[in-house]
Amino acid sequence: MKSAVAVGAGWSALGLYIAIAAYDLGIGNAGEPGPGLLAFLLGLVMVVLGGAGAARGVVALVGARGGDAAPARWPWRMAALAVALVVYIAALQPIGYPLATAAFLAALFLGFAQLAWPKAIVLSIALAGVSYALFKLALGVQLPAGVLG
Amino acid sequence: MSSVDGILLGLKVALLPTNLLYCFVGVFLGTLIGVLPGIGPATAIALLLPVTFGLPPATGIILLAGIYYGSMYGGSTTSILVNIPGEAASIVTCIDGHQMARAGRAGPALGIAAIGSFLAGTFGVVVLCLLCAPLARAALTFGAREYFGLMVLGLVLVSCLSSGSLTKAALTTALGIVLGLMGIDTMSGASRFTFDRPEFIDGIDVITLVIGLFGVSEVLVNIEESLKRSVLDGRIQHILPTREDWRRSTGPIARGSVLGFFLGLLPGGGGVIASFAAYAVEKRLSRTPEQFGKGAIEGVAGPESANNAAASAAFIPLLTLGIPPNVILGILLGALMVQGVAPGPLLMINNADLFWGVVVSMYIGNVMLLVLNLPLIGMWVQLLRIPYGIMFPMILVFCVVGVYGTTSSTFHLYLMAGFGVLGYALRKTGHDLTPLVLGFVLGPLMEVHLRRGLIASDGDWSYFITSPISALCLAVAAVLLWGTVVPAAKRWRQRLPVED
Repeated sequence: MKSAVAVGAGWSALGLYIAIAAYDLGIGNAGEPGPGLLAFLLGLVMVVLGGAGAARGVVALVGARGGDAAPARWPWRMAALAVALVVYIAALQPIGYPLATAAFLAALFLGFAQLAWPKAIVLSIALAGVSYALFKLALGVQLPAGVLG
Repeated sequence: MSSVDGILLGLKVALLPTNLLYCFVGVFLGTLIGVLPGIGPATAIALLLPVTFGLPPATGIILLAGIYYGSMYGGSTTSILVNIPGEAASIVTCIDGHQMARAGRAGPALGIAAIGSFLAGTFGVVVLCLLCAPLARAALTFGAREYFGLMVLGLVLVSCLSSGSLTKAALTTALGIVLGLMGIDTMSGASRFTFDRPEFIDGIDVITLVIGLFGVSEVLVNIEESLKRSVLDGRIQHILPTREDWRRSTGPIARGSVLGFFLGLLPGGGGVIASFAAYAVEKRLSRTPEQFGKGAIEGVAGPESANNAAASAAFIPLLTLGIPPNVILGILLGALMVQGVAPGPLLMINNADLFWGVVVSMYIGNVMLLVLNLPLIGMWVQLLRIPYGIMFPMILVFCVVGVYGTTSSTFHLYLMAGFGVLGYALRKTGHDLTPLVLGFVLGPLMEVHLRRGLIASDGDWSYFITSPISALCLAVAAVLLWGTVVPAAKRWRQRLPVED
């Protein structure tokens, strides 16, 4: 119920931002609609619908007797994976696709799939090499070679 | 050009060795994508889009279309053998397909799924050939108000047919439209929501959005669950259905084909709704409804036929009106535009070879799929034994390659990761992502027609109801919106699955 309030409030805030930014762009008039007209209208829709969702959440929260359900667990696996992905993206240009991919795969094989060290290292190097050959050499996709280039 | 001339031209194009090869590659990859849970056809097509840039337009679209309908075939294998749908349109096949497999009848379940898919796909292509020419001729007379009405109806249908609450679907549709409006406004030249970043001048790249929302977020959601799954042991024998299986499946295949075709035409309808509707119809018509859920072959034949017929039908609005009815065809629309081809009623005139080549290749692809699926089932089973812990890191790498291959920009990779987290948050809070992507694709087109219509009518909003087609579309949209507020309709929507 608390999350419903937060989600509704979030949508409303986003809608408000969009409506203000669109208004600044110029909404024009019916005969000469400006570049912000549709975004402005959609922003207002988001404010209203988000506000309605938040209001429903507040009503449910007030009506609930035993308080909110147990708080949800923090999605640490998802967060760790998202951080690993961002680090991989940051490393892609400087050190290149083959090395960055091998390191990324090895980290995930060890951290999430719980593979043994030797297996994780061999598999990650092999998959990085094969995928580089497939995409860059066979399919002509532009990938950074980095320090190996 | 008549349909017969068109089919002859299509045969000439589709039977070129290069196009046959890419059709085979497309259906093979599509089956693979369908078999492997965790990567849907939308992500797969987005990933392979950069590969098609160097190909002739017809060849590129033949490849991507093959992935789409191939995935519909492949999805059933995972549903039947692992009880996990390979892609969303095969969710319902798990119910009876897996029960058949547990009873030692995996072979006939896989066989009837493949044969039903082939027959429905063939039916879909034939009706597509017959309907496209008259529809495209009618669409040539459409102006701003008709297109505006059609797009409003499309977006309302997508919201109404998406899972969860209508409010959430409307919110994600609105967000999708706003994201689609980012970049330079083509009518006034103004920069909209670009945050002074040069990367946003051309707007957000559809590939970045789709791969982030569907590919990355799918992995982020799955990683929180168990990475283990069990594939049914034992050899799969007797793939060809028995005479009794045939007797029980003929009606469901025929009904599933027709129902799936019409539901596939609807924006937001697609294979998921078609397969669920076909299952419900078969259970309702059955003399032994109590067998459903315990391994009734009708529960496999009907839905699998319906989702393949829907996949063929979905091409009609894209090819004749330029309006994609689902996310996957939204990406195909992007692929056509990158190739310099404008989808819509003029496609059949200006690019007849592409149009008919793709349509005929869909039939050839269906034949390939039938030949490919039955003998290769053992290979797909082996693939299913690859642990998800090994597969998901590779899916993320493919996502990165797909976006980098299209944009050559690290900024877009960060954007993809951001959309991945956004998709995760939206899914976790009960939002369906399909309306967001269709809003993103259709929104800018709808805005152009809205503004053109208002300028043409000197600001008269009633202009949009002066044409019978647009008035009908807007009236249906209004009725649908009103209808979904009714409690019974709300309860029905709660049961709808999410499409990827």
